Amino acid sequence: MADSRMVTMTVAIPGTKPGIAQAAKALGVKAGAIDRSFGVIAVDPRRNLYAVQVRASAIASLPSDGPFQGPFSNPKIAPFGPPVD
Amino acid sequence: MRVSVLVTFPQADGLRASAIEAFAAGAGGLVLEGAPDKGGLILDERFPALPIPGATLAAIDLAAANPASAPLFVTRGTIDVDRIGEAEGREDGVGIFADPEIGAFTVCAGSPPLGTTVDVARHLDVAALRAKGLDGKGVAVAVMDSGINIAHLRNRGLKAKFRSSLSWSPLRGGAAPGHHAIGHGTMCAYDALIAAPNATLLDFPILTSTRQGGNVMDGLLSNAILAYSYLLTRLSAPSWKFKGLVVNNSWGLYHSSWDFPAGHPGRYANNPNHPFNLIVGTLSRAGADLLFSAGNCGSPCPDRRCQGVTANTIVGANAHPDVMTIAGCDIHDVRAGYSSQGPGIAGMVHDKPDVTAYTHFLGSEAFGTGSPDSGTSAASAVAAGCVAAMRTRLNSFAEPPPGLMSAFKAKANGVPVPGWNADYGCGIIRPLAVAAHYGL
Repeated sequence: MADSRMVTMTVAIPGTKPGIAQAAKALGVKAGAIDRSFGVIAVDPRRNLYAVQVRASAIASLPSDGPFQGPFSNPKIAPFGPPVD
Repeated sequence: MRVSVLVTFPQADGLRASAIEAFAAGAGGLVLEGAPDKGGLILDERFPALPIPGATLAAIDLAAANPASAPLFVTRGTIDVDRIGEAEGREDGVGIFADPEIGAFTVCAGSPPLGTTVDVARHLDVAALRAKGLDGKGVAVAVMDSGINIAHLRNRGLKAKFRSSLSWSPLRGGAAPGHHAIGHGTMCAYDALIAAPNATLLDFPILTSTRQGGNVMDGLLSNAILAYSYLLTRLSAPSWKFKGLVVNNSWGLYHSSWDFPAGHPGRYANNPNHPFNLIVGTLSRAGADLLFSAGNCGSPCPDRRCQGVTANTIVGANAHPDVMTIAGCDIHDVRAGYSSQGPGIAGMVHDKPDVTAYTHFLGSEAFGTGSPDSGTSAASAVAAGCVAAMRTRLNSFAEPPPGLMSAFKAKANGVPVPGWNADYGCGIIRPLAVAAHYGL
C-alpha cells in the first residue's frame, strides 16, 4: 500500500514566489503529491530555499542529486510549562 | 568524622569580650581561656560569641539580649561525631547542638509559587523602565503558543493591547484570535506584559493539534514553520507599523525520541539545515527578536516527559545562534530545579542558555487560582517583555537582534560568577542595565 504520509522537504527554486507547480517540477513529483494547504514556504530566501510537504510515496524513488533535501523530521512540540513530575 | 556544632556556654569574661567586639563591628573572633576539648571539640576562633537571653524558652529575658547581660553565649566549633557524648551532660553547663547545612529551596514541579508579579516587576526595575518610556508601546509581541485569552488578561487588570488582524488562525472552525481557552498561551502573554505593559500582543496558536480530537497543547513543528512564514510576510509588508517585533517561543522537544534518530540527515535537534532552523534565521535577519525557553529537563527535578534525561536537552531552535535562550530562576535568583542546563546539543550553539529570567511566581493564574506561572515558559515570556521594553526606543535598524542579544548577555548579573555557565547562562536578566548601556 502506498505511503500516504506527508514528509517535509526543502527545495531550491530560483526566482520569486514559486507555486506548487514549480516546486513539484523541482522535486520531480506530480503537483498532486504536494500538500496545498501547507504550500511553498520560503525558509531561506538568500539561497532560494523553500519547504514543502509532499507524500512520502512520491519521493521514494527520487534521485539523490536533485535541488532538494529531505525528508526532514516534523516532530511533536510541547509547551515548557507547567512542569510535570 | 568531624561535624560542625553550635556550643553554648554560661557567661564568662572571654565570651562577653568577644560578643562586645562583634557588636561594635570590630574584627570579631573568639579567644576563650580554658575552652573545653572533650570529644575533640575545637572552637572556631573566627566565629564570635553571641549572646543568648536565656537557656530555655521560658527563661528568655529580652532585657538580657545583649553582650553585657546575657546569661548564655553561643559559639561554633567542630567535634568528632562519634564522641559527642563525651562533651554532653557536663556539669559546667556546656551544651552541644547541631549546626546543619542549609541550602536554597529549589522550585520543582508542584512547588507553590514564590513571590508574585509585583516581585518580578521589582526585580526587573519595571518602574524605572517605565520612567524612561520603556514600556513596549508600539512594539508587537508574537506569542507562539497555545493561543491567548485576552479577556482573562483584561479581567486581571491588564491593558492587553491586541491586534487580531495580524494574528494567525490555523484551524478552520477553531477559536478566533484572542479567544482561545485560558492556559499556557495566556500565561505567556501575561508574563510578557510584566516588563512591557503597553506592548501589542499577536496570537499565534501553533500548539494546537490539527488532529480530530487532538489535545489543545499538542503541536507539530510544521505549525511553527507556517506561523513563522506568515509572520515574515506581515513583517515585510508596507502596512507593518510596529517599531519592533519580539517573538516568544515557550516550547520545544522534551526527548530525542520525538525526533528522527541521531545521525539521520533530516533530524531537527542538531541540524542547522532543518527548514525550521533555516526560517528562524530568516526571521531574525528580517529584524525580529526571537526568544526560546531552555526547556524543563534540568537537574534535580526534570519534567517526567524528559524520561530522566538531563544532559544535552537544549536542542533545535532552542539552541539556535539567532535566538536568546532563557533559563528560569525564582525571585530569590535561585535556578528552578527543572530549568534545562547547558551546553546546547553538539551541532548547534554550545553556550546555551543565554540568560536567566524569572519563573514560578503567582501571576496570571491561567492554570487556576493560586497556580504559579512556571517552567522556563514563563521565564522566556518575562524576558520577551524585557526585550520589548528596549525596542520601545531602540528599533532593529539602530541595533539588529544579534546586537541586542549580546547586550542582554553582557549586562546580565553574572551569577554565580561572571561569564557563561551551564545553569544561568550569562546570568539573570537586567533590562535596566541594558537600557543604560544604550543611553535610553
